[in-house]
Amino acid sequence: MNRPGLNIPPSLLLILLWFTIGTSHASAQSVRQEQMEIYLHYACRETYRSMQLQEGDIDFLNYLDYKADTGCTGVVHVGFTLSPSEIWTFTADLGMMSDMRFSQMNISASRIVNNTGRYTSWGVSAGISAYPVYLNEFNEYHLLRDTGLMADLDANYRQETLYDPGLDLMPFLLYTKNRLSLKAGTGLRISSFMPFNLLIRQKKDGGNFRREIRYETLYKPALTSISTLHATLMLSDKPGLSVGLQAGAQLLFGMRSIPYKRTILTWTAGNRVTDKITPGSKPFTVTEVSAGIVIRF
Amino acid sequence: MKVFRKILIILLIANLVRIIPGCCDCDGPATFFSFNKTGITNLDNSGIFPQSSASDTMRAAAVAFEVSLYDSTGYWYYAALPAKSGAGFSRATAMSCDCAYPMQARAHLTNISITTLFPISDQIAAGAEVSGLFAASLRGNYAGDGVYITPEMLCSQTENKIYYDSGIESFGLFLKPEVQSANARFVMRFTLSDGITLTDTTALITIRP
Repeated sequence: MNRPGLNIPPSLLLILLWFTIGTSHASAQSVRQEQMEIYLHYACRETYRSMQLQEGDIDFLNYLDYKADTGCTGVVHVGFTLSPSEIWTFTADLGMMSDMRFSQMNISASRIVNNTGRYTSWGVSAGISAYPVYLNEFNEYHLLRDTGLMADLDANYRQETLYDPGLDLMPFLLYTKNRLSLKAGTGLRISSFMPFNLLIRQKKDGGNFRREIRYETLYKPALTSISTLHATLMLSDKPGLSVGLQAGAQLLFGMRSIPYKRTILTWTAGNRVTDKITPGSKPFTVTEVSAGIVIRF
Repeated sequence: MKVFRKILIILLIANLVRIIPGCCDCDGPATFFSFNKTGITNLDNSGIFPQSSASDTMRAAAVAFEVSLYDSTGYWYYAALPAKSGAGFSRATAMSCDCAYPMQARAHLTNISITTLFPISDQIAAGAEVSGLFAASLRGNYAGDGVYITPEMLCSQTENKIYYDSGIESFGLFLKPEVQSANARFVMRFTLSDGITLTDTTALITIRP
């Protein structure tokens, strides 16, 4: 019985065999070099900026983690690292704060440039990152100042998530010996707080007077320094699946402010006054210390 | 037996046909009515949002009234009438057709003129035209959303306005300056686009600081 579907020329079979062997050989090589990690960290993030006097206009950065119960903001990090070779490493990191949603995503690529010793090497890392922080109870500015008025008709707890996406570039040093690896780097980051809108509605207690204050914050890119330190200790160095412990620390420092446009509507929408306000830049730091487990395979 | 099956099929088809026009037809033509009656009630606006008040006493900075313009023949009762249905052929619907009944005023509001019968302050004497001292708010916006609108904006929003279920234009008027007299009372004139003016007078208000 003639079966033309299986009638493959011997030369084509040889090509297919060569390709298959070549591919499996290549993947065997890449398995040896390729390394993946999944990690789970709990981080304690502290955002700090010195409180400015509220004599004039509101400065939103005064309300960073304002009146927070704990000393720092808890962040759960889940990340994935892919090292296709010893030179390149790609990392995607998701961060979740107390609102139980992933509001932070950091993506970075790092490359080993040169080995400086038997166990040490240096490289460069670049990536995009966002460090969301909470602005709490910013309406207190009006509650304290606008006496004689119901200063905020919104009785809800006022909280805004402030995102700070940016691009960072960082040279780093890597020390690897046996099951321990240390990575330390410092570099620059350019970022801007994401604009947000806020509305404060006011009414005179025992009167008809009504006022509405609309805030629209504006982009203002800022240059900050970023420094990191990461330590990984693998509990076993067997090939295949292995588990380890990780710890890290990160510090961001820069001079930051949030400029904004303020529109005050008095009695009616037509009676409005708009001002652009730029609070002075002041030192701003984000410190994060984290620890967790890593699974390498 | 065959006859019984045929009857069942015919009944099934008849019931399926009922579903085809089974959507509620709520796009009926608007019924026209005329604003020919006014009603003014007192508002207590000392709190977060205004509430109707039976008291004739108001805070000096919270003098406010609710005005209703409507048709004295009571067209809004149309909304309560049962919807007309095809004779002998009712539609099958998943629920009753709760259609809002569209109504439109023949003449819309073009101007609000308010005269004070008592002095409001040393600068604003009795008999003065004070409509510019009032801010307005639509009744549906009493819950404290945003600031007021001007009486001019209030008038312009009544043009070509479709009123659902009730042909009543209802809004609040809020006096901006604080009343310095012991009493307050206002005459309000509402001019319509057909030239008719409706006039009403507020209750005599006793002012408390």
